[in-house]
Amino acid sequence: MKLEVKEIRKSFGDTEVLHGISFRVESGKALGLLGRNGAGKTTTIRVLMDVFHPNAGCVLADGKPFIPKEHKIGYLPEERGLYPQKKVLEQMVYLAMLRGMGAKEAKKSGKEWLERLEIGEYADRKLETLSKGNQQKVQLAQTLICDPDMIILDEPFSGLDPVNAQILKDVVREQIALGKLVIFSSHQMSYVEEFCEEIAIINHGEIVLAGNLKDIKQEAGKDRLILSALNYEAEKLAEKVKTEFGGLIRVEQVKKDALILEGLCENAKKRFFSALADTDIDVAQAGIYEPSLNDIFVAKAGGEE
Amino acid sequence: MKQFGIVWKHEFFNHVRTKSYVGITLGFALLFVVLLSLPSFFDLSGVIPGLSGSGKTEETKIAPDAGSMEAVPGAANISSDYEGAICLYDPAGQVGTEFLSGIFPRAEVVEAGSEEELKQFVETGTAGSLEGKESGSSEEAEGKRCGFAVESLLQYRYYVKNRSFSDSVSTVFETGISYLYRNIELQKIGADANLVESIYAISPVSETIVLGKDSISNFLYTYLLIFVLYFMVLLYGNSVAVSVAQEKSNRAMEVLVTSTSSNSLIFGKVLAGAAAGFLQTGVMIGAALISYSINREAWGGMLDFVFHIPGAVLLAFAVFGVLGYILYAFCYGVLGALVSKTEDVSRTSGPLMFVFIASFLLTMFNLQNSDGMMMKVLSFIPFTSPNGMFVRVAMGNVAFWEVALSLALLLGTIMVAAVGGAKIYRMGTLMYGNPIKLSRALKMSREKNQ
Repeated sequence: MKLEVKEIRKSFGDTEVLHGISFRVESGKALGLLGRNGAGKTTTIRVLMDVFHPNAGCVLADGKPFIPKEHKIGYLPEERGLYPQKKVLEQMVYLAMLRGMGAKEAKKSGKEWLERLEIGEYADRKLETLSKGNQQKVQLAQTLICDPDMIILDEPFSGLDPVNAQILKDVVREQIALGKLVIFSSHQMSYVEEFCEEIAIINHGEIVLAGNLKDIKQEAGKDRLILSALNYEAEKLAEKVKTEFGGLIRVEQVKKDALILEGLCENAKKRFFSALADTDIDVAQAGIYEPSLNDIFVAKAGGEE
Repeated sequence: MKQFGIVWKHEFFNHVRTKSYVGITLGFALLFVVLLSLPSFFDLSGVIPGLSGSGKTEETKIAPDAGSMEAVPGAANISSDYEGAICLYDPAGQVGTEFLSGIFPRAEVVEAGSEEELKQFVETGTAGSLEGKESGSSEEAEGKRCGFAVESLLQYRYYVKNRSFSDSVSTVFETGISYLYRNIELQKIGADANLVESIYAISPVSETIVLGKDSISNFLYTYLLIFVLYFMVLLYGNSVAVSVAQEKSNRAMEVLVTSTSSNSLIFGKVLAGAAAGFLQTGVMIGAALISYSINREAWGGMLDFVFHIPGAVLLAFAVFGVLGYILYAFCYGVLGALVSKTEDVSRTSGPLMFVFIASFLLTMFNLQNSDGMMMKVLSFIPFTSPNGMFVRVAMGNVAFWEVALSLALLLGTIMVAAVGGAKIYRMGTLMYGNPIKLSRALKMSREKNQ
């Protein structure tokens, strides 16, 4: 399935909160939906799930209007959405039945997922008696119980220790490998980088960057080099580069132990590297600069409040 | 529809599985069964007046033989259960302690030499020559003292230490001296006092045959059923609001609204609450009705006026009760969706509760005037008709068209409340923070694309 969100606009009263959101994602791939708190991620997801109707724009699945009821969707909300005083399996079965499963089938699948996530012994315990991490695993089991074609995970790693995070990572990878369409919203960029081929960054209700993560990184690192030396500290190295290669290279950023450089002419990169050998700089690292997703996110969404 | 069924089932079992629900339902049902079966196993004629014990004849209280009482036609029938001390100051000797002992056979009667002495006796229990006398021996009599200072048979003063709510001593005394006075006056004009009293004492033998409704006998069960509806709306209606607010508070709503339609959610909740409430009421009333029908003979049919509820009245209660509950429950569901925390529910649902309590009180105050204008008005306003029309059907004169019109108005209002309520519910369930004002919610629900 190829899911396309096109120019979604949404207003509450006189306030427009989504100003034309567009992105696309297809089965077997994960999209990282990124944005600061209040950027419009949850509203976008609710429009996608048909909880809110958009004022303009549309959501298409394989070119046709996307009707959530016709698809099996697993949704893991940012804040846990379960009944604290009900038994774990009982509420999983109830929510699975609302999503179209039969009671027996839901019970069987629920038990399997609880076992898979190593919390099978809590099936008949009240949710509130479980630890925060185990509650999050129950939430994930509830998301996956109906074998969804489309999985929306909003901050799935919150509250998980490294061991449980690893279990969840394995599950997410497995689902992507099984050809599921995954929309992944998180502030933890390392997880997004691990799973997502595509990203969309929302800021103040509009997409400020969207596309293939690799391409985005390459584009962000275009004409940029990274340099560090064993015999110069970053500040002094910056002075040295300015003095030696002033007309060829510009120091764009001085990091803690490296410089980000930008070529000023066409063959700057080639000329810089060949000339570098003639200096007294003992090179520790020199190459094409590829920014981290964190850097890209901060650059795109970390501006004004 | 399937999802509505799933929500309904889930919510219904949420109600009926709770310990409090099972405890209250079975507890009350058992209590009714036991209480109504008691006369079949025990002789309760001493506890319940009018209930004849097995094989025993009813004891008739007869005033003791008290000299002068016999001489006063009519006075022999007066007898008070008052236990305690009665002090009499009767300087002219018109009443006499013997007569007083006759009408108060269980009391200790003493005579005071002056009104001051009487007053002191009533106040402290001892006075002058009356010192040392006990003011009654039983627990019932303890501390009970009163006195009569008699000026004439037409004028007296009643002294009492502590006057109880049900104090009838002076009334009995007054009746007694009225007979005395009449007897003396009749003798003065040479009339036969016995004959006059017997003429006055006649009581025509009558029989009332009610061809329509008997408001006097319908009153009790109507009263009880209105109370049942009152508690059901308040308990189950409020539980709908709390349930919605809880789902918002624990964010289960996030998953629910993305899994099913908000209509299924609110309709499922409201109708499950109605079913649970009526199941509970049905079990309790059913247990009482069955138990009474089995034990009716032992009761001698004396509770027929409570338990012989006509089918039409039960039908009116069921229809108007269910619809009334549903109307209020939709409103409660909407109010629950407007808050984010369960502790805000009572604040937001206060005005609705006020409307319902006002409807209940207005109905209660007009219960004895079921054909009055106020009850007619109440029986057509949808928020008051569940009580009002039920009372008119049970106790008053009501035309079929009036019932039909009231029902149509109630159904119409329920539909408006359900459609509007579902819209507000859908919008309110995903809004967090401070409670949303109903006016704002209504405005937002009218906007397109919500």
